[in-house]
Amino acid sequence: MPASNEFLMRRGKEKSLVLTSEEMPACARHGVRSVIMCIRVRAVKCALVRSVIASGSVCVRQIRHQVIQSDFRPMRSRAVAGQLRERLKIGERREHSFAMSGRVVNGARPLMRVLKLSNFPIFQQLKLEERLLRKSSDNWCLVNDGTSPPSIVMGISGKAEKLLEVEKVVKDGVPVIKRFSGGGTVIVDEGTLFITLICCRSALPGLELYPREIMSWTELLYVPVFENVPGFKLREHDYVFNDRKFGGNAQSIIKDRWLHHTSFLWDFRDSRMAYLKLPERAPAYREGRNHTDFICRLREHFPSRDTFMDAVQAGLERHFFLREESLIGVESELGGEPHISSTHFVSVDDLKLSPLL
Amino acid sequence: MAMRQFAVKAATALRVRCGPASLHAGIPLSFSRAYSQILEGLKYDKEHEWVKVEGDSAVIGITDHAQAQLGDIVFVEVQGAVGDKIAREATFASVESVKAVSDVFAPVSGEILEINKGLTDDPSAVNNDPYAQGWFVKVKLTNPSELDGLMDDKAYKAYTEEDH
Repeated sequence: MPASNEFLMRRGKEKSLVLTSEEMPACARHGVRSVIMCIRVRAVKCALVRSVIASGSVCVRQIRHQVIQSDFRPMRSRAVAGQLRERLKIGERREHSFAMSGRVVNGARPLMRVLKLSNFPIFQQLKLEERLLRKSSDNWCLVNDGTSPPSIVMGISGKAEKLLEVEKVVKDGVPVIKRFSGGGTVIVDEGTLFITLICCRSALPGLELYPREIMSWTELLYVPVFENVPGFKLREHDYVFNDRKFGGNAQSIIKDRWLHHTSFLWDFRDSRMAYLKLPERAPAYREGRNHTDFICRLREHFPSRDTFMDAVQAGLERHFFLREESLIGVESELGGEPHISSTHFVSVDDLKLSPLL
Repeated sequence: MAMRQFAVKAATALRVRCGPASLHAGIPLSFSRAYSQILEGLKYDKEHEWVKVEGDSAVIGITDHAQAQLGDIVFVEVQGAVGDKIAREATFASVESVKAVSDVFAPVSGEILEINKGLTDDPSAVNNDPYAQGWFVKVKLTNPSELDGLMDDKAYKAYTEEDH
């Protein structure tokens, strides 16, 4: 039996070490120093592990970018492409074990088919979106870099007399479209960048198909895209930098599928904003400001459109495996099956019949 | 509405159940999943529509749970007119809320007898009184056996408590 002034220390599975009370303080100091050393070593190890993970993730992204690029261009060497794919598989497996985004299922991101357009008429874009939402069962991303001719697009419940300077619109012959999704009114032109996401419920398990939930998820999607721009957030359903809106969005939700489309203001002309009235239903943070005081240009925060688009692609790649498609292929695939179609032009006669005109 | 939304999310996170059944306009109702009302005597669909059977016809609307999830409803449109047929699980109406248009699915098949025109002028009735003033359509049932596949109030209550 140890004396009262003796202490029993057990070191792991080693034999018990009996210390005297005089030896205890020295031992305790040694023990504390050992603990501090362990913590320091552990911190260094964690930092090393983190840097390895980061390097690995960057490496995987680089490899993935190469593989995707090789899918878009004629392969110079099938052997090289094959090697890239093998490296990507290994990298993806490693990425799965290292950096779980919560959206990687069994090591594979869901496929998202990407359709890149440029200067595509907005009416045709909206019709195509509605067809993809209702007739396809795949996940899609539509990108349209600018549109022509300049057009006004209202949400499904929009009333021209309340939202537009109708006389000016009719006089200038600006096309007015009522789209199938909700939300407000925009004037779109060559300075507008469109990004549309169409997803199945199964692509994002756990995401409830309700407006606020979907919008919250898209905010998370865009956070890394705007990581270098201070003040980005989703504010009362608008994408803003602090209190200046740069992107309007709207959604359409059907059974087990949803669509979220955004019109980003790369640039705009103040003269065209004059077609729009101050809406009755405006977010509180707008505080009655006119259009030019309320909105801002995305080109003030990115060096080029391509830079922005690349950032969006990188953001999507965190959640999806992207594959580019052609418009001809998509239209051929969709065929001419009838479906619920709400997007339509508002005729000049209907505009002229507006109560306040 | 904001407090109600907060209550919904808080109760969902805490898995809180509300008190025992009480009465609403003389009709027994119970609470489920943080203050969503569920009326006894109605039938319910997994897409959160309710059906009130009246002989060989039925009144259809969306549940309190659905309207709470959708947010402030600013627009309601029934696709079709009196005399048109609607099929079970097909889209028969759309509602707009929070910048989103959401399809509403028919819980039963039938011929439209009446459309609630009041929702054109006051879509908020769906939020404020989903089981009475917020009804969407009245239909003549063309396949009454479909009612057997719907949930009663107890089953719907359990369904909503499973994070649907």
